[in-house]
Amino acid sequence: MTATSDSARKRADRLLRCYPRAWRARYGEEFTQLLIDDMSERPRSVARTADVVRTGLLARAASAGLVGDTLEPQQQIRSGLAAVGCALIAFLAFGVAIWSQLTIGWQWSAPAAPSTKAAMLVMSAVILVFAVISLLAAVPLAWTLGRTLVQGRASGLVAPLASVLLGAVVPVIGAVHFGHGWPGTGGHPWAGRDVVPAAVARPPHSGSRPTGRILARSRRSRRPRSPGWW
Amino acid sequence: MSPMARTEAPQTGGSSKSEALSTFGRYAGPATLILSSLADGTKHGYALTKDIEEFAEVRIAPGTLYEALARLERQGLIEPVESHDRRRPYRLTADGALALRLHLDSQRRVADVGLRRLASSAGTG
Repeated sequence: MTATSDSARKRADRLLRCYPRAWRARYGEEFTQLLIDDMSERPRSVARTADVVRTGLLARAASAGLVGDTLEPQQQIRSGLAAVGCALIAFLAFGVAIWSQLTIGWQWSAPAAPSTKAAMLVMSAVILVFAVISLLAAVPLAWTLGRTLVQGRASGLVAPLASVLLGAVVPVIGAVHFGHGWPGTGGHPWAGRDVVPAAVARPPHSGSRPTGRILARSRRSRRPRSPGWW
Repeated sequence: MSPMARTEAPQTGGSSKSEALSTFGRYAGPATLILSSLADGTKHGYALTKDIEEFAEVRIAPGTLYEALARLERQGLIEPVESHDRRRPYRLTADGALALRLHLDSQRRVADVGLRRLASSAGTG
């Protein structure tokens, strides 16, 4: 094998990774050969790369049940539920984390400059809009799912549904944990009373967290409004 | 079976065929070119690209070509041919030949009307 064809094969193999595993198993070999043939004629082509990336992403979306008609209807519902569920959980995890940082920062140190205040308000509004969009995206899927459950055709839906619900519970538990200032969050009401060992109630790494830094800075700059156990 | 004999499609079909035919129009661009190319015999991906480039002066990019091939195969309009080579050839099925014939007939009717009206308006203008 020449160095040129070896290079073309490697590039074709890299492009092939744009497609989902099932697609690669079915079409991978012949598609790689087509790419190599095409590269022998046009060694460099941005349009070809863009086309492969676009169709690869579409194939991935189709295999996730989000577009197209490649899956059986039942499988499409299952895959769509899993995909939307994962997206919602990722949104909740990151969105709630950012939101909590914002609100804590606001509570302990209100923004002095109008531009900072405006930026925080815009960011909060954007997070809220994303939350609404994600909920709207889930509505058609929830409707289809509910109809399927009512019609008694729910076989195979229990496991993905349970994983979505369990996944959604995780950030809720985290939020409650943080809201109560329980061990690991940087402070606990019992920390100063020697009821809970200080290393557990306020672990060393907590001071390096963004929230810990905000609270520490706030403690240095002003007397805390609440709570008194700091 | 000769390629032309294969395009002599049956005039009846089940629901799956009618579903395939009804969705054919949405992806008519690459699909028409691919089916037209396969109408005279089996071809693999690169041969399809070159043939279409020759008769239609359109170059279908690899991703678009295989997106259409996969769809046509799912609809039962084409089928892969056993091959020991990495280049897997495809051929037209009877349903594919019928779909292509119906689509081209429809396109020809539109083209005929358009050309006739253009000619008459040129004559009166």
